[in-house]
Amino acid sequence: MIKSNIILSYFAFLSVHASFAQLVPNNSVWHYYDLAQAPPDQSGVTWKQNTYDHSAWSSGPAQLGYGDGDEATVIGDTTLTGYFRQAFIVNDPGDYSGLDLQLTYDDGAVVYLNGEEVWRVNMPPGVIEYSTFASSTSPENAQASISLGNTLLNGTNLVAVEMHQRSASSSDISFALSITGVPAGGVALATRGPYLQSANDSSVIVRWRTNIPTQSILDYGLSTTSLTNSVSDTVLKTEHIINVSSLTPATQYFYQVRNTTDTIIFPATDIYFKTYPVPGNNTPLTAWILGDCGTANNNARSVRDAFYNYIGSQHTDMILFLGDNAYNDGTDAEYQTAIFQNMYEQKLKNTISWSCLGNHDGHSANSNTQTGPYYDIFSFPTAGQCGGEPSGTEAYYSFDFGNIHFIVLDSYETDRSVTGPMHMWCEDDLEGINADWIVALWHHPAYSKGSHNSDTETELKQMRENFLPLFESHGVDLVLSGHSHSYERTYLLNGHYGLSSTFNINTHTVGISGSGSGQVANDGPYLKAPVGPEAGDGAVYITTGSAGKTTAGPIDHPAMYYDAVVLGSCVLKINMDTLSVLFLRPSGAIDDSFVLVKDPDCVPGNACNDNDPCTINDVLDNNCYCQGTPDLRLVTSSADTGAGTLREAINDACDGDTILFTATVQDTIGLNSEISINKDLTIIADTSADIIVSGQLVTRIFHLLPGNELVLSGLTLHEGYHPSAGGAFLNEGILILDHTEFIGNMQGPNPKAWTNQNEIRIRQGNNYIRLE
Amino acid sequence: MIMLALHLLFGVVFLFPHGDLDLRIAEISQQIKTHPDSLPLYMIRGELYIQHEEYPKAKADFQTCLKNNYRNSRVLMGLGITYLFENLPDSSLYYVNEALLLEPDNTSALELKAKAYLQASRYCEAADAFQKILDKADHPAPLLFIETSAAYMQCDDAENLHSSISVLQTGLEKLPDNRVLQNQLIMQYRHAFMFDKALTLHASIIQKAEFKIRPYMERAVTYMEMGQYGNAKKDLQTALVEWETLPPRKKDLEAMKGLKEMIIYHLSTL
Repeated sequence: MIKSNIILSYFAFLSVHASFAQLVPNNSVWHYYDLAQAPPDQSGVTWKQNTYDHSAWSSGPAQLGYGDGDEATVIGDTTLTGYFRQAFIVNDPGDYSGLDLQLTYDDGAVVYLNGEEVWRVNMPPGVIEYSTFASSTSPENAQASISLGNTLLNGTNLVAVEMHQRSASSSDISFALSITGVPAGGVALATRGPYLQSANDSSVIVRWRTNIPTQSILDYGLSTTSLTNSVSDTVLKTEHIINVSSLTPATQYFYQVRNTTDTIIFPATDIYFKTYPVPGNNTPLTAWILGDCGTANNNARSVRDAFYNYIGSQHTDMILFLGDNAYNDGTDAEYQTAIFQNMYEQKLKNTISWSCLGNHDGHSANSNTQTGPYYDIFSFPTAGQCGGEPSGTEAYYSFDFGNIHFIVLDSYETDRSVTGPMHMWCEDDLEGINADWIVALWHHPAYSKGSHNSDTETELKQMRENFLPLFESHGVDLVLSGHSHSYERTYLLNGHYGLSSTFNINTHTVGISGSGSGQVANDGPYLKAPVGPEAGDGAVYITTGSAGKTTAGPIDHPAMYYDAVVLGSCVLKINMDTLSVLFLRPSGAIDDSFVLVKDPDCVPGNACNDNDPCTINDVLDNNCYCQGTPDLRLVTSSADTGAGTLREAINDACDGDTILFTATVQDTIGLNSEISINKDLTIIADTSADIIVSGQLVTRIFHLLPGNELVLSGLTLHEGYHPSAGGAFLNEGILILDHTEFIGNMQGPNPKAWTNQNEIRIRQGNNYIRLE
Repeated sequence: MIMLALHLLFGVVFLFPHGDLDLRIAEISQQIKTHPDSLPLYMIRGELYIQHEEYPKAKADFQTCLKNNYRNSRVLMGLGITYLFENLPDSSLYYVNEALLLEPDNTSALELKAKAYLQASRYCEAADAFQKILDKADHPAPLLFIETSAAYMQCDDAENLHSSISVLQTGLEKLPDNRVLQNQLIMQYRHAFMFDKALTLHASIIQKAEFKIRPYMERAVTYMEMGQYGNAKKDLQTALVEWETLPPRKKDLEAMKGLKEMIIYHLSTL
């Protein structure tokens, strides 16, 4: 373990705390108008004015434009001028002494703030119209910046920009703009957060960063207008960590952040935290899973937006970051743009976030001393305060959400051996819990053939070989990892710790549907037995490391039901006895999903109903699948039709059934019409009983239809008759004759037992003595 | 032509055993081609080569930095790590010490120094280096206490056992109720025949644990070592009783069945 402990810890990067108040982020979403004309006025209100309604305009993230191929949003390429608008809210304009604007342009632009022109870049003087051209051709993605005085309004502000071509033959337009507030002297502004950490049923940690050292005061309450409780720390600091305790379980609290003189984060309907349910309680969970999301680019934002669209206004209980949250080295500055700024801040302020350490986070972190940006940024439980066994380190820890137990491991920098402290802690933790569900997460996947290979890479192999036996013996249900920049999802597995070449779908999957999709509408959900000889067997392993980028790989691990090298994130839901996961693409498409059911009432061996009328003695098997045995059909009458007759037994039988004769059948069964057989059947008579089925020279006895198999044993078929295809039997399927006699059967005037149009086998014991 | 190019591209990508690490090395190498005099690029590539387990290449990059007077703790540490992975602890120590001259408080360098001493079987010096990290770290992880304790144990010094125990005791003061450290300390107490202290710690664990089966079993093992078979039997029987109170779904888990078998095995030896 020397290697990993050392590699990771010596990349000594200084953490740089950005000081800013980003009012309009560089990659933010703009409304735009691109219909090759100036936007029409609305009852005298021009497009530059705040009250103009741009809701009918298109929208998309910057950079906007066309013709260069680097645009996040491509606008119509026939327009000579693009028009852009964005509203933003400022709660206290007095916080800022001025504004810094940074513009990406091609070819010339005019910027308006709250209806007033504030900046003209590469445009001629005078009145600017739709057809006004830029003064010159700009370089590609030209940059310009300006510092302005503070003309912000209290509340909603509006920035409007028009971007002009150099000429009618210009081939491209490019536009992006950021506005940063310059803090007024002595004014504290939030430069990071708020974000929520280490929740349990009675407490939560709220964190934020300010541009200058100041007090930490958090007011909270049950509504935005009733923040009646406060927690404060009067020590001046920029990194604020407030532990709010004595809270009610599963309760939503609104909050604001301030110092002794000013409000820093104003209360709003989306500024809240929600405590977790009491451990053991059955409370529905929704978790958003982000693996390798740290690219700080529009790939990550597109994955984010897909989730935001998917979840809408519903509450998200947690974000699970699977590591590599900030490329390339997990520095504080990288975390700022990959996580906190123009990325996940909308969710982080009302959703508890948890994380495991990725290798890129580890470049600038040291797990032995718990130092570096990763450990500075996050506050994870080390003393078992959120459930589970105290780990003594933020590198690995556990927490509860109601009846679900989460275990977070460090697969990169901490000793992964079975004699190491992480393994020992994990065993203690697993032994002590009594949750209905166990979810584990770590960065390096146990199974992957994406951009990383679980057959050859040390971390991946050791996690599989050392930790999976422990987890599986304790009934873990789901394991989440990243590292490979793709999506790979296994079947319901148990007991596969070797190379991918040793995977056997028959022996390493659990239950009847374990080797299937796990999808209700397809071949059924995965089932796990909570008790019995195979209690706890079966877990699904997901590698989902494409929330920020994709990297090619063979993705051919045989344990995977589904894999793809595409961007996306996962959504985990658990409710009562059902766990489900879906993989969400930026387009909103759900590429994969599965359901895992653990019925608490399942007791293997107990009676059940498999809803199959063709089976009897239905019982729950060891994996909680309800299974019956094929029913035996009994012939009790020698009549042609009616109850207990051979004709009725065949009609009522299900595919695969066996038909037997009771001792009450002693006379010849005389038929007045043929019996057609459209299912697989076995009809067995005791040869000593001398069962005779007769066509009475008026009808053929059996007609086996195509696609079916019939075994006849111990019968005598007597005096069947058909004028052209008979006498006793017309076979279009597979007919197996075992000690079956044909006597006196006629086709027209000639003796003939059967007409075969497919395959007849004549069996003696286990051997076939004749095939036709 | 395009198909061939794609095929070659994917072929290369699929051969990469370390995913984006390979891509990053290729990216930095390309930058070095464009800016061959940029020594920080060699340093970064050297670090990437270490992660890629290509130590000769890593060493060459760091040496390029030193030859051109680009000398800082990252470069020196890089060489220290590289030599350690090549099982050359003396050379590793040389460069780590050079790095520590530049940054005496660099805990990562101290950690590397401790590992190099361990590799050189210089356990007392390793223990000293670990101890310095413990003294400097605000939030040392359990592993650091265990490694320090283990180094003291192997140190040929009259006070080694005492020091080994003392480190773990300090660890438990900083990380109360940490079972991993508690178990490690019990082992050391047993090793030092300090059974009374071991039993006190066992009792504390049992009292605080919600899940008491393993704690009872582990105390029984200590009793067995002390020759107190009656107490051992009593604890094992208590562990079995505790086991029987588990909910059915817990009892049926392989791990729990294994635990019961272990208790029964210990009972069978009494």
